[in-house]
Amino acid sequence: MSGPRRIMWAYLTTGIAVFGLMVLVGLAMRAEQAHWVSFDPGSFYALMTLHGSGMIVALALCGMGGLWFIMDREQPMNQGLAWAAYGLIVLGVVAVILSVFPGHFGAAWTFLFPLPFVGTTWPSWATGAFLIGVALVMAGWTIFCAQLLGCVLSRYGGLRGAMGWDLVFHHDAFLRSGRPEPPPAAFAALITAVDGLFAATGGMLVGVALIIHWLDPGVAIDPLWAKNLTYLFGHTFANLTIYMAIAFVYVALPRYAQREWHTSQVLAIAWWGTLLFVATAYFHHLYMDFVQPRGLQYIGEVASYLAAFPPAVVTIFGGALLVYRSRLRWTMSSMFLYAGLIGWLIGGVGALIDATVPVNVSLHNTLWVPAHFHTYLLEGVTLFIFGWIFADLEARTGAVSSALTRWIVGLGIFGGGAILLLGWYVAGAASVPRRYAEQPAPGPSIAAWASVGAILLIAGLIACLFEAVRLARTRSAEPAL
Amino acid sequence: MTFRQFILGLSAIAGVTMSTLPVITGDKDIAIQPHHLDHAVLMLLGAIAGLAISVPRSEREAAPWLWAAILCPPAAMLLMSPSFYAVVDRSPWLHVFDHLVFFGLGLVTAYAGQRYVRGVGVATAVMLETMAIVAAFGYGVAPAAANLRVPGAPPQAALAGDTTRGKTLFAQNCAACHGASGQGGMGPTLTNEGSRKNLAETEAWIKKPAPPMPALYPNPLSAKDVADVAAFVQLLK
Amino acid sequence: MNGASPVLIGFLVAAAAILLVMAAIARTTTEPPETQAAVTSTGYRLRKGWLWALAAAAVVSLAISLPSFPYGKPATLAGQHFPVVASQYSFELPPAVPAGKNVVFDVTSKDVNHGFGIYDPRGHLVAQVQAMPDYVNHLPLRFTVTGHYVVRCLEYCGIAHAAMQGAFEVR
Repeated sequence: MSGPRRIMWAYLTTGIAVFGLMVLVGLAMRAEQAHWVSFDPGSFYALMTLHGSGMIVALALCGMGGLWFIMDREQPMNQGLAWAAYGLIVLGVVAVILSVFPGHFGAAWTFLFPLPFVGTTWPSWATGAFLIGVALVMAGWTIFCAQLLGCVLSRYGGLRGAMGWDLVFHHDAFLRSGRPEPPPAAFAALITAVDGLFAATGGMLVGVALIIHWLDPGVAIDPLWAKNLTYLFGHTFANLTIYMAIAFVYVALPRYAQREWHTSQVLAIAWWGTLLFVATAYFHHLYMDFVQPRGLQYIGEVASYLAAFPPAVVTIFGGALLVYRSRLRWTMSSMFLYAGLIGWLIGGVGALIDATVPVNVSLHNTLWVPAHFHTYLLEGVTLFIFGWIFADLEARTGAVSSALTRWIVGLGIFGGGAILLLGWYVAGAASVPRRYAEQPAPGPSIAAWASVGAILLIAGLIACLFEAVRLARTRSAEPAL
Repeated sequence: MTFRQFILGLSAIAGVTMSTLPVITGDKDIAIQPHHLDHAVLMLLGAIAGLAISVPRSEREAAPWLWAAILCPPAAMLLMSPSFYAVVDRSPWLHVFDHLVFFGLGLVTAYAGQRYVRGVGVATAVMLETMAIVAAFGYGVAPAAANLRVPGAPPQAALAGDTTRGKTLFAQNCAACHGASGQGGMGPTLTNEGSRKNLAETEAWIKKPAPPMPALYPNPLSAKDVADVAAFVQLLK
Repeated sequence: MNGASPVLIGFLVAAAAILLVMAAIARTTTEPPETQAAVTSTGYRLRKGWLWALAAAAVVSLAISLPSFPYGKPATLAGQHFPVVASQYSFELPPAVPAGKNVVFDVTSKDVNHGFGIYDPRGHLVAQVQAMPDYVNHLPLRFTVTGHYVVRCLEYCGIAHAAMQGAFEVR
């Protein structure tokens, strides 16, 4: 395996391993809510904290590895830095796990100050371990973003070139000039880098403030300020896991459809919009903070709406157009990539409903929230990642999975997933709050059939894992990816 | 002299001049918010200086520089810790040195980023400067008490202590070190304490102080006493 | 379940439509293939229509939702004020609130962030606001239905979050 490929697979396998563990943690939480198993609320919230932080990092790791590999082919990058970022993130994950086992830290990964310092049931060192763990992850993330930024800046001629400014406004002259045109995946890289550094800015600031407060409780922190920065970091970081994984669709789907995905002017402009809206949509997390300046609430709703346009009009529409009446070969990879577009779009509809302030009044912090974000994380980002992994495996071995395997995996992951997701949507519409170890009716009965969906989903995931291992062990010719 | 050198010289002179402010203005206690903003200006001048230094064009990443570029911003935020201010404020020359460090961190953040890959230094400089400015609005800064003023039934009645009682308790237990009106003495000044700590944090501090301040809770001060004293200390101007 | 929720039905209809369209597009790969150039020109025309349709939907939704934002300035909020103080893990609430009149809840917290979620007698979440330390959030409301209202904490606040409840009567 070449150096860059080894880096990608280190990120991917670590991400998938964490993902698998966190799926089981998620099932444990849902089963507890269904009264199938019983543990104390402290353990429930510790698991919830682990599930949330672990999943975001798992998806980020997979996205980072893949995107780094894709951009490395555009312009080779320093492998030492990529390993350093990987090492820092793994250390951070270990610290977070230690804060939960044995530390029992359970403030949720986007805890709101003064939470982990007031009325807590875990030792102070667990709070510190969690904060330091997140700081390490953020350090690795910042290295990754800076590296991506450096890559696109030096490859395409500065910010102007990387943004495709001349491609949009001086199209013909640009084509004549022979300057390198950023491929669609480079836009994903640029936006990830810039908005990722923006997220890190907020995260570092609030992170340092919290660590200082942990060391010296006398240092005041404004709770509204901390809330804004926490969501700026949390929302943007989580959101970018999607935009990183889109690069996989841009690169792999055209190969299966035997068509090309070009950088059009519309695509460039769409990504400019994404750059702006990903950074401003987080205000919708503060809709129920009436002391938040009112203008920010309007920006929140408008930005959340506008954020949907680039994916809906360009990427998802473009993906559908790419597939329409093409010679697409349906394999595990192309199935996942295409299904991921559907999940992303449906989750987006759920998000838009929730982003409408008068509706948010009755959905904010209900199970509607996990409903919509699980839709585009589980049936969107995760599928893009699976699609990418299988694209590499299929290209390397030339082997293809049987239709039966695809049906079994599809039924488990899409069918079981749909049941699981419906549970949250139905319960959310029925005003069942999120983050409740013990839910009011009709929460527990819904949790029961949602858990059945989760088990089907896990069966599908296991089948998928076996298939991936089978393909990986098929010896083969040259890596073609 | 090139334009770059001119900008570099100008920002360096401005930065060093501004760093000496504590000596010029004397050992005056200023609130945390303007203090943070003061540091933000120093970092900005440093960053401008860092960006003004020309860097060699390179095809490859100069990887070691990236570490400096991304470690300096959180380091600057650590140095902006309000509890650290209290230490630095004691000596004007230490304070000047502290200011020079902020200027230097701004410079290194920008220059190291540029050395890593040209253009990245602008991004890291913007990160640092954004952090420094935003810090002024919540890091070590409690919301104004005005937020808690409510038409109709005021909930702060449930939160705040009895300041009249607090004043008596302060005179008996605290004034020996902090001065009769909180102006300071053996202990640090408590004027404008409300801009550094909010009520809950003042209470938390009194209940669990760091040496050399003695712990007066739970004896001789009860929880109610601490709440009352804290409420009084919040009022000191 | 509290009867049919229009939000849920709207979402499910949209999701079903998306699934059907995307499945139909996937089916076309079994038909005789066309070149990319052949489908692109039609596709781009369609895309323009799709963009305008989405833009129209967004504008309509904004126009409907913006006037019904729940925020009000404390000075301009008419009506009787009721203080609400949240703390781990209970609410200090007024025992009763009048129906048919403008009321304002002045909501704050003694310790961490909490959520002040009001559930009507049928179990629907009718209004909510965050309860924050150091701040007071003003929630203007007008109750039309009398009865027993349950208050639940809607911001994760610690180990007994799920048990943090209160209640008041609307008369």
